[in-house]
Amino acid sequence: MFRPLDPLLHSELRLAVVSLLAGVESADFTFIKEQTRATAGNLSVQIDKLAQAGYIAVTKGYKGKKPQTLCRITPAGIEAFRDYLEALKSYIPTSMR
Amino acid sequence: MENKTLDSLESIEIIQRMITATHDKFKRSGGTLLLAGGYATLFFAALVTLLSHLTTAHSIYYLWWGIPVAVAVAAFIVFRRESRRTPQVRTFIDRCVGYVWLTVGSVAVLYPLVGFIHPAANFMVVPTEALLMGTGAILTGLIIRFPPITAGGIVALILGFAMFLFDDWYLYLFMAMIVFAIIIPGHILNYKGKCSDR
Repeated sequence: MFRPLDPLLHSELRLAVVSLLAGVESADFTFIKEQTRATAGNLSVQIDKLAQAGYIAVTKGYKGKKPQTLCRITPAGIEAFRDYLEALKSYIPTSMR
Repeated sequence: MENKTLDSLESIEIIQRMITATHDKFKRSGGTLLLAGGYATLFFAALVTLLSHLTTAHSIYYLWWGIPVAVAVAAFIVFRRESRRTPQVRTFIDRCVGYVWLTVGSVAVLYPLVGFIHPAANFMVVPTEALLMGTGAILTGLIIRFPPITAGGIVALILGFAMFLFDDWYLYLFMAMIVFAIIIPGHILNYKGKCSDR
């Protein structure tokens, strides 16, 4: 029986952002951009969507004189990521688990 | 990377890649900090050793207080430079290592103050500092899973205990401890950091 996958996470870039943030305490926009190799515009839009859903928290500030955007996964984001992984298991053939 | 929907195997591949990206990231600042602190400590230890051969004045031992000052200045410069140069990411491992060294560093700075109250304790300050550094290094090596730092910490503990037994040689043993426990692992960590950046 296939479990439904969270449509917000079931997209290449948003899943990459959440997976990345699940492994760290916080990461800045530039680090996420480097790791995902996404364009700044697209990444910014997807980060906004994740933030609106409450999956990540975004803090805008300054590092010296340069603006800095710090992202952090929220407890709701961790829960959603965990549910996504559980649901994903139902799509993988038993022999591959 | 785009915004396309995925099949299950692609999802797993992305999750795996992103988690690996954070786990395998050796921080170059870690190695640079070890080197800056290590060479600063070695400089003051060598200075005290040299002066101890030239004079019998006890005031030369106040030079040990140059070490925490030099390490604090080095840490400030390294963190400032790294935060400007590289994108910022803070992991749970960074936080654990930070707490280990905050604890070890606080005890290392406070312990010599005991010598002002009980002068007899002065004899034990340098070996005890070596044991503290060794403990911090072993914990750091285990947390970041980096055997050269763990091995360096074990060497520091052995040399720290040896200082109690061979007290005529304690300054030389302390300098050897700095080289094996801090400077060599620092160079190896920097080398690994450069390799992981490529």
